[in-house]
Amino acid sequence: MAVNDVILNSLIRERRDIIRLQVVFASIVVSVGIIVIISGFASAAWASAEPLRAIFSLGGAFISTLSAFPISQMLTIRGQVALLVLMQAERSRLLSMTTAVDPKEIELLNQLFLQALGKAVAP
Amino acid sequence: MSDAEVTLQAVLQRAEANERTSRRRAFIFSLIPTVVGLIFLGFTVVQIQAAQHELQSTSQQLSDTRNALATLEPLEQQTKQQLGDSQAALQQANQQRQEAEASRSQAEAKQQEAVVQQRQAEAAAQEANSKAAALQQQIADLDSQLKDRLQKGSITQFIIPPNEVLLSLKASCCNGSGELFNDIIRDQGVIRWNPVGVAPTDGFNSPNYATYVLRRRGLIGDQSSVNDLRVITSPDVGDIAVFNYGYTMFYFLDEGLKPFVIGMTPLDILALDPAGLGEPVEYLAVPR
Repeated sequence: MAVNDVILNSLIRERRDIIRLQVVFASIVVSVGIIVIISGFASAAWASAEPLRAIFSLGGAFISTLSAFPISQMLTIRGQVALLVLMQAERSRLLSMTTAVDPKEIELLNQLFLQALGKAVAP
Repeated sequence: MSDAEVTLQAVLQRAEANERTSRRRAFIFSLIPTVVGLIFLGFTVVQIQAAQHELQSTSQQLSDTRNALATLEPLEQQTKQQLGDSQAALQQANQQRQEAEASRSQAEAKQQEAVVQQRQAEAAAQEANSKAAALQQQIADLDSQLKDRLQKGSITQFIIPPNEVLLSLKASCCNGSGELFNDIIRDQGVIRWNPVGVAPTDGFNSPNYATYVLRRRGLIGDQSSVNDLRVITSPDVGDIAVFNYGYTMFYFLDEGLKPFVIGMTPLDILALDPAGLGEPVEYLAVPR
């Protein structure tokens, strides 16, 4: 097969790194939003201005919800990682079966694998 | 189709399913911050509009306040002027108060001095009253002694009886003093002896009675007395003869041209022979 384990392992490791990065980014965004909300409630400067406190709360909530983008991206990449692991297992299993298969069939399998890999790692 | 192909087809389908799921998730997860952002934006817009409305209201109030302030500025000047006037008046009032306090202090000092003088005067008056009471007692004693002495015969033997007095009137009337004599006779038994009396109801001593008779007849003024009469050496009928002990008697002549006197004595009004009173001290001319 044209795609070997090194490439698959590299793809899997790269996506896991991206997942960690997205988790860190989402945590930072959520933390910033929570800090904004708490500062709006805790600061005595806004004690006599109820609208400002509400604006702080809504602003903090808005910033926190911005973490939905990295979370969504993280979930998508997790699905890609799972698919890549599955494909790695299927490739190993298929390689153990190729001795009994003719070259045309192997070429077809390669095309199908590349097609599946393209779907799996599509952004 | 071989088993491997079927497997890869399944993997391919799963990859496609993952792709669709990822798209839906991306849409849904994008919707959450969008909705929250819209809420945030709407709330902020509402608050800004409220703030603008409040700002307009505050600006209007500020404008009204400035107008009111401009209106009040002349009043402020007037009030300052009044305040200055009030302070000047206050200073003047304080000065007057200090002057009044000084005057009050002086008045209090004078009042204390007056109180001291009043006490001294009261003491003096009390002392004078005591002396007056002692003098009245002495006068009363002397009067009593004088009455006793007269009644023991010193002058009673010289009293002319009333009938002879009436006869004497005829003799004396020729000199124009009949009315005077008649007045004195009418007072006899009505006006009594009083060594300190000054009114007909209280009685008189001898000089005061003579003065009373002359005033009543208009022969001397209301402020004059027998002491103001002219001293003469030879009396005429109706003149006054002054004897010792203050006897002030009217001088008359009887029908035998013998002199007799009539006036107030400690035994009331009597007609006497002058010999009973001794030598006259002086004669006083009664105006006619």
